[in-house]
Amino acid sequence: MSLRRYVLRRTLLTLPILFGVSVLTFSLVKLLPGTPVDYVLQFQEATPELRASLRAQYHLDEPLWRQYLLWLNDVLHLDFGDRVVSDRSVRAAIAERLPETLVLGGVAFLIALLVGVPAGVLAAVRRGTLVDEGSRVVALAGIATPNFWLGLLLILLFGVHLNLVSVIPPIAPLFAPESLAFLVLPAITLGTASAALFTRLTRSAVTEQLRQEYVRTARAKGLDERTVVVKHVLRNSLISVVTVAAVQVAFLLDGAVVIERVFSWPGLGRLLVRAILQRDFPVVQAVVLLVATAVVLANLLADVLYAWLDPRIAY
Amino acid sequence: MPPFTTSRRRLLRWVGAAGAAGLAGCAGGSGDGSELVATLGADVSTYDPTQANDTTSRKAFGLVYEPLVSVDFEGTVRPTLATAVDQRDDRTWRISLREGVTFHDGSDLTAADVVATFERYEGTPRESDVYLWYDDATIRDDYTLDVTLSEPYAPFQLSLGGVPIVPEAAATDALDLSNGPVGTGPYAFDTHEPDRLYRLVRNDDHWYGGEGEADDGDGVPDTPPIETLTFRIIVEQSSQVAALRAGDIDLANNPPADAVADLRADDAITVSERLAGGFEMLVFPLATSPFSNRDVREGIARLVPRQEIIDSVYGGIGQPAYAPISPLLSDYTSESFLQEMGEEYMRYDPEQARELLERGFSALDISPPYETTIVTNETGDRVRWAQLVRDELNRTDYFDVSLEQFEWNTYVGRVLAGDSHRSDAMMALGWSGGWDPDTYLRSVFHGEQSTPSCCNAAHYANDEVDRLLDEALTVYDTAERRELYEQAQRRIVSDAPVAFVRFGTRIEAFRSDTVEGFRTYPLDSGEFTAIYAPWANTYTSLGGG
Repeated sequence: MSLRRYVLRRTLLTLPILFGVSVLTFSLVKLLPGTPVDYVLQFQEATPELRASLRAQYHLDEPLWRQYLLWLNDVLHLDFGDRVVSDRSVRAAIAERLPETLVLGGVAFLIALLVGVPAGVLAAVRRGTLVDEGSRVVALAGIATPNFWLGLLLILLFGVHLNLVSVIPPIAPLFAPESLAFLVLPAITLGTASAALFTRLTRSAVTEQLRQEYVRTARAKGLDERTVVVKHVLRNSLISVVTVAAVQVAFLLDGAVVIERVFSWPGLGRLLVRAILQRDFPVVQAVVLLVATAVVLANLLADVLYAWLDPRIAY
Repeated sequence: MPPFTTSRRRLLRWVGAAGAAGLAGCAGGSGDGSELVATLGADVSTYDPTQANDTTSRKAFGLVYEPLVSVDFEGTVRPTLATAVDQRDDRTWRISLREGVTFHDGSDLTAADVVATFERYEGTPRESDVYLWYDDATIRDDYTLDVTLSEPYAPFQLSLGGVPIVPEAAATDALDLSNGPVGTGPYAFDTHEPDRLYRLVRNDDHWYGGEGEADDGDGVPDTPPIETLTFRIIVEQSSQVAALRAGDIDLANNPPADAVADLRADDAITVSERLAGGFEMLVFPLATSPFSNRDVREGIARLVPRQEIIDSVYGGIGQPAYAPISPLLSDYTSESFLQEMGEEYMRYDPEQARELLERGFSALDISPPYETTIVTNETGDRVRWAQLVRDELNRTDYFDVSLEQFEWNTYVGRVLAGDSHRSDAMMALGWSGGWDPDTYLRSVFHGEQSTPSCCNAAHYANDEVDRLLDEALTVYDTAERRELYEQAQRRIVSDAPVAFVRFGTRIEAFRSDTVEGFRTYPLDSGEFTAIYAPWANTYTSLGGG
């Protein structure tokens, strides 16, 4: 099978997955206790007419399968409806928040890669030394540290005690220098676990490659160690890192829910949490669907990249 | 606004669930160009008073809209957009409006705006704010109207204080309040960036003419000293406290109890506290043995270590509760009445508790220990006091109690379920009331308010109590009402459908060097009242620093 056919087949395979995701998203939200009507009325007594009209407004008087089809039809037209808590459209709310989360996630991802990969290479090249052991301890601590706690710790240290940074985001456009400067702490917090993972992963991949015949050959040819590692070993090692990196997108979106709260960052995570508490179902469904779709697509990308990077992989 | 909550038939608003808010600012004296950067603990979800079910939204538009009357820091009704509210007969009140008041959109305030404001509540989520008492209104001239009540209603004036007046155009859809609030208040809406900030700017055309004296003897300024109010939205309480300490904000509403000691120790920060409306309680499922037995209930009530809870959970903040009406309402309760209730039915007394439990368990023929649960939501302070009560109960031979926590909405769904009184678990709840005694009693103890109608989770039903509460609502004379409420409270406390635990305290912490003149308002959603309340001779300004 050619790579092109593989990509096509793999892409087609995501369609039933996305369908499943949509069914799950829709059903899980239905399993949450309460309805939008409960939020609007705050469990107050209401006339049956008012209750009925609110139920009709949210299609709650329709059978479940019909509610799903109505929702799916709207979603396929990229219409996520209006929010329960205001007259604004869900799409507008998401469009407003998405860039914030993408930038936070992007910076975190970059930090994770820029720290994790070199640290992993260094640990592998100097394996058995203090550098290796040190990076292992730091990486394990990074994986084990709850990012909520780390965030608060960084705020207390750099925001309160050293007074070097603001605790809350500056009032400035997203790409203004002060906004990007503010992002350093939340991005470090968010990226720590991923950086730690990349470190361990890169270390084991590089270690594995260093044992290969071609490395011995390269060295025998008189190539200096730096060229061997950077040009040959690293390129081959990155295959597994790339695949995991794509999947990390999901973790970053996940972690953003907590980090955005701690750092008062107005992203998708904040929108989601509040929407859940408010029974703002259209928002919950849209955001969960969006995140799930992003994860599915990230996995697709990972598979394709994997296949493309390593021609030995059978498909 | 409103500066008080009318929790009659309203949600259970668990103390502390509303999220915190605060004010902050950069310095700059009280002159032009001053900005106070404030905080809200959640995002503003609506600008329309008929849709606002969350305290944050009501807090956020409190300085934009004004009601006909306001309730000051001591609970006294003060004229605001009305110059007089006179009773004509049992059901008719004449309201005279202040002349020369303009809305932020430039239109003049007239009687037609007031009538339209009342009538647009019909069929909205907050319908009961108005339609509990409103029947009809007649416009007599541009600045006078008569309001007819559906029946005599004692808290009428307080209720008026909870109805923000909007332009008539909002009722006819010519003005869409979902684009931004339009009121007559001292501040006008400027911008809202969801989850980021909400900004108000000073309304230089505010009607106040600078009459009167502030408490400190200085004249009340014509317009607010602070030009811009920026509310930063900070959800995480720890981040809010950190922002305050770092100087990024200058005032935080309701900081968590465990942060208060640290804040007090910080010279740069002033912590202001005052008694709030509202109480914590342990609710008994009355339809289930052994809670069906009064002796058992009193026995448990006498095992609630109130002082220990206040000292160890709330850092010494708050007051033991032995009856529902908060001492904040001094016209309707007193320290001596509370002490009497404590002595007779509720005060911590393990020995007496054992006797009562012994008697109760024998009467029911239940052999101890009885396995049961206390359910709570995840509010940290509430969980901790519930743990202390659990430990006290488990120290006796009568109970084997465990604790179960639920996520907020699941919890609300559970305690407000129609069969809450048949549960085998006790429920740890908070209730917040307002300036009227009815707000502390009806929703929780009136027979008609049993879940799922409202919030009487115990399904307590006592005809005498119902009659007293209904009658008290129609009596305008304060002394007579007080007598009725004392009788009702006495019956409730002696029946012990719940064990009262603690009256809450409202706390604000602010930076001493910048915020000047800020006063703590005791009720939910009135926190920012002190920014500019000429009717109470109160305003906040920014100092040096």
